[in-house]
Amino acid sequence: MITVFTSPVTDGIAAVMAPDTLMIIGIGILIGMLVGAFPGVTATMAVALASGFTLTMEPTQGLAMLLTIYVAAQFGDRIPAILINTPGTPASIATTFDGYPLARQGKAGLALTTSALGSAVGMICGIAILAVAAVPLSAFAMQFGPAEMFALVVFGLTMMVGVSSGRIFKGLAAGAFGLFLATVGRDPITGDQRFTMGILELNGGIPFIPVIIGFFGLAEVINQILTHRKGKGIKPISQMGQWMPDGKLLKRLAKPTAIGAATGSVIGLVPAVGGDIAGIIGWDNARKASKKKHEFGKGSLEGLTAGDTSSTATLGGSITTTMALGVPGDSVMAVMIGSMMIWGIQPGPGLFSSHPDLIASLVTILLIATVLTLVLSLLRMKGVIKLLELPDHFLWVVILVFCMVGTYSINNSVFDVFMMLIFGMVGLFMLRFGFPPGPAVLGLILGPLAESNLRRALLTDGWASIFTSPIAVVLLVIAVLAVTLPPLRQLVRRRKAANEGKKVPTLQP
Amino acid sequence: MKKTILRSAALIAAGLLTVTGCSANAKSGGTADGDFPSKDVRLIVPWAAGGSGDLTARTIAPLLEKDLGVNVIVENKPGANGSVAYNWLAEQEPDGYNLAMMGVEVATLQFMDYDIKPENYAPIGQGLAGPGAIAVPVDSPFKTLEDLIAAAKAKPGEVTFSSPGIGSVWDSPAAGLQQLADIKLTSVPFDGSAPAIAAAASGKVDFSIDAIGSQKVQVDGGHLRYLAMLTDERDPDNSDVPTAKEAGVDLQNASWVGIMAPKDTPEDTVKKLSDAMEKATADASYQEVIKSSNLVPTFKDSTEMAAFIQDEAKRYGPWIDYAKNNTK
Repeated sequence: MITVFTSPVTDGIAAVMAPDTLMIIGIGILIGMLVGAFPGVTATMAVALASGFTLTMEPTQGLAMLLTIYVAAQFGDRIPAILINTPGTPASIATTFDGYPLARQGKAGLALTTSALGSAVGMICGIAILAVAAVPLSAFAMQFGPAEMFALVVFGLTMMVGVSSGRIFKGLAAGAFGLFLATVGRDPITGDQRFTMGILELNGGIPFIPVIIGFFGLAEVINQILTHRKGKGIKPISQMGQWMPDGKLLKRLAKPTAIGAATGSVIGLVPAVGGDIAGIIGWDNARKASKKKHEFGKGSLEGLTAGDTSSTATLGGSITTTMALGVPGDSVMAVMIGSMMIWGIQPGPGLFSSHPDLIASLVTILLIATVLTLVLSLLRMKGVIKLLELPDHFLWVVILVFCMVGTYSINNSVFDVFMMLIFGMVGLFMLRFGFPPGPAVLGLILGPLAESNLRRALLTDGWASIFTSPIAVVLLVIAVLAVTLPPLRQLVRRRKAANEGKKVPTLQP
Repeated sequence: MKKTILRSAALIAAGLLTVTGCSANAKSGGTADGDFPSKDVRLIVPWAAGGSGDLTARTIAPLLEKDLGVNVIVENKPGANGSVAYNWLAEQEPDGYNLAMMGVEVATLQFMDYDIKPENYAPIGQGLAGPGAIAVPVDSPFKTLEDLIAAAKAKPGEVTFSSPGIGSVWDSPAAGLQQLADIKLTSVPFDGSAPAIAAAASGKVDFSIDAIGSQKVQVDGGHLRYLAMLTDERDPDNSDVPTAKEAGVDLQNASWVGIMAPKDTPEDTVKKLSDAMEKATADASYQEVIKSSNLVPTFKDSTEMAAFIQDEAKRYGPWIDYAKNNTK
């Protein structure tokens, strides 16, 4: 692979353009889309299993296979999120917020195309970052220690308000519930058991993918079954109206796309933070900036685009961090590092100087994979939509089977299936009583990160380690503003309105 | 179930004709009745797919297949520090058809309130070792281990180190360091080796204690510097770095990965598996994979391993107690 003839860039591209590598990319796309569309089967798992077979390949081909699976899974996982409210992988949690309501409004086709386009744009932005600024940006990523991570996570937790879709108190209650669930398991610092109730599996904490599948997928199906019995249920309308977004819509989506891409690109650089969190933060950022805030969570194409763009834009950043620092940018990259070492590519600070053609190869692989996946996604859209034309009771069975098998396959564990069922019931309760699941999931994902990083920061240098870090302070200030500004602004507006109201009658007589 | 789907998908995908999974059943008919092995062997990986332990299993499985003449099916059963799989194995028929990968946790989980007893297992052998080192940020004032110890003596508790988590294979020898050198350090446990080493590389903590091979990335990249090796002899690849013993601290430690069966597995079955493992670990392809992961291919047979695990339990018990009592 490393043949330095002319320029490393052309060599890197040429290495990918070989027919057998292109064939491998094609196969990777098929696997990735399949894996993504299957709830419970994450991109991490697919890459981990595929890495067993790619060890014997040439590095370029192996990388092509693994990266393509990663890319394609990011498109595939949107489909169940939009059609059946079940995130195919955690990266599409934010997709369910607006995607599923859109599908219920009969706009599944439009939602799928918009989501695919948004994902592609996000991916390309992430790739652009990798191509242009991999090395300098990784220096920024290196700054992220416990204190900075804690501040970022606190900022993430402020998103709870945003994802409550207007029901602030119920949203915060759900968030607190999520944070409580996050405390189950071993103490991250001392290793003591907490709320494990003698159940061995709970030592590892409450597994969050089964919770997501239960909250979103199972709860929704059971709710439909219940409401269906009462008479005429809300039948998912298969597809009406437009498939492709028109010019006017595209113009409206430009802003949320830009916000999503920017959010995801930055978050992607932070080690160990991936598309799931970025999707939610991107979605909330776009909501704050939108003129149609009220639509978010009820079927906003802007929200859908922002979330999907943001979660895929992390990919470029994750790869940058991984390759340039040797620190995994997310869980998929943690698996890929192992494979790369076997191929004699040691990710780390020295990588890009020892393998100058590698960035070009990576970028080419990612670009080809993105474009091909987008084309494939758009082509098979009409077939996928047919799923919704199934009579409800068939669809329910399909979803239930998907939820069960998908959950079991995460760890080959029956315990996970039980957790999924329990949290399906909890999710049903929340759904019936108007508690939004988004904040609970956010609490469960971010809670352990907040706790462990805060305690690590305190161990190293007490509170000083947080307040002497510029990045941490800036992030915490943003977090405080994110919570306090909207109500303050509302207060000011109300007072202004009240003053004006007073002025008018006093002046008139 | 899905795993098989994925597997076959990946297989087709790879376009490889080396399909070991689906065609070898016919072969196993050749062995005489009652003779081990006459059917497929399951090798459980107690960790999630993708780590070095998982990789070892997937590298060694085809080599064991070659020697045993039956399929060796690798399956991940992660959870609760590996104890889900260890507990599962303890309950299986001791017939040699159910095996699991193991790490030092087999000996140490009992000290972390897990119900895992090394006596419940019959070790088959060791496959690799990852000897440890202490490394500091390149710009650290500590030039030798003695400097570090002197600083910790002067200001007890102010020197910090990162470890992959309390009770882990690298947090524990740090307890040993504190006991042997009579110093007090502050442990900052992380969730795994990669973030722990990264924290030291960016100077968030004063030193990292981990496997030489895991720290190598940051050492090669110019962020970390080895201070002392936790080995008997100097590491041949880093012969300029002294051992801890040379600095007056007689401390050695290495992570390791092996294979085990449930206790009461017949002796000749254990012997057969152990012999197959010895051949597999000597195979050039195995050696290459392990070495390129910056680990050391190492073999110990079933008897040596049984004694070794007992020794590990004796070493780690007091270390973990010390760490638990000294972590805030």
